[in-house]
Amino acid sequence: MIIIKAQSALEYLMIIALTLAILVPTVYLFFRASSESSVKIVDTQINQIGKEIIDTAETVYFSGKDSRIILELNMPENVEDIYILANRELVFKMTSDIGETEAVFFSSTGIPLYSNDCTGEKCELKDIASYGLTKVKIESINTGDRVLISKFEG
Amino acid sequence: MKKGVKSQAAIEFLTTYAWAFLGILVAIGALYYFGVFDFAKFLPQECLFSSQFECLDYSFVGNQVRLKLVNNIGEKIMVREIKITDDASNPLSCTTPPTINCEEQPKVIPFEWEKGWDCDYAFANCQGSGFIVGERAEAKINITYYAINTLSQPEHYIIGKAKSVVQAP
Repeated sequence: MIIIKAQSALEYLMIIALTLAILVPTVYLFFRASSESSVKIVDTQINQIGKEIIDTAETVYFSGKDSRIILELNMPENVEDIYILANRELVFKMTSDIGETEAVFFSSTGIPLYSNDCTGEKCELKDIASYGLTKVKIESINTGDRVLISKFEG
Repeated sequence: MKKGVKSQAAIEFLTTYAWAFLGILVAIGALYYFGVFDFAKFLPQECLFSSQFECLDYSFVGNQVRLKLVNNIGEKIMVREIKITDDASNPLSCTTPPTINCEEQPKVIPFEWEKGWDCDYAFANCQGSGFIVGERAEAKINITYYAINTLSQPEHYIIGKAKSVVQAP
């Protein structure tokens, strides 16, 4: 009787061991592969957002003074900061599994980009960098020679 | 008398299982020796870069890390610096390529990278961080650049990662 009990306990342990031996490597492989694909997804999202902002800025610029377009963007959570440099470089600063990196989008020469918070040649757009759905207003200002990018509160 | 028979049966049972266990342990040891449990090698070998600097091809051969990147940023840029490292305590270090081949044209850092052009980078003398033939290795590549057409030419950087098994030369 004692032997039968010992046998069933051993069989139980072997089943558990076999299950764990299959589960642990599978979970490990799954998490490693999914973290890599998430880096690619964020990159694709940022590229789409950056190109959309630049394309809209160009549309607004050529549409003339006081024209405006409001974009609805879904910002990924890895974006740390967004700013404009030298009135033509839209920079997304982000962190991923690889490390801190930048994605830069260039407006056509002659289309100056601005925000409401410019110091020197840097214009901050941190308020649109928050994770989730954000509305961004892109409008032609001054005499139609500048494009202002700002958060749309509405 | 009855008690003696029971203990004999128990010992025989344990002895049989002990042999079975020993056999299993030897089999597991052999599988481990041949690298069956090295799950890292089942992970995909890949080169992760932003699509602005898409990685077209890469390889880890001997003591070299080779990369082929394309400038998809939409602008002509000036590459000021390119470095290779990783997160290990004894980080990977390689010699910066003396020349970079861009569309069959040799370039020396700093160099102008035309938009749409692909360039071949070959980092030599890579050592540290387990960069050994037959082992899986990882490299982080940092590129510092600026856009030529921007007047003040502010610098930017990009990080990419390549993972692969180091091949024999």
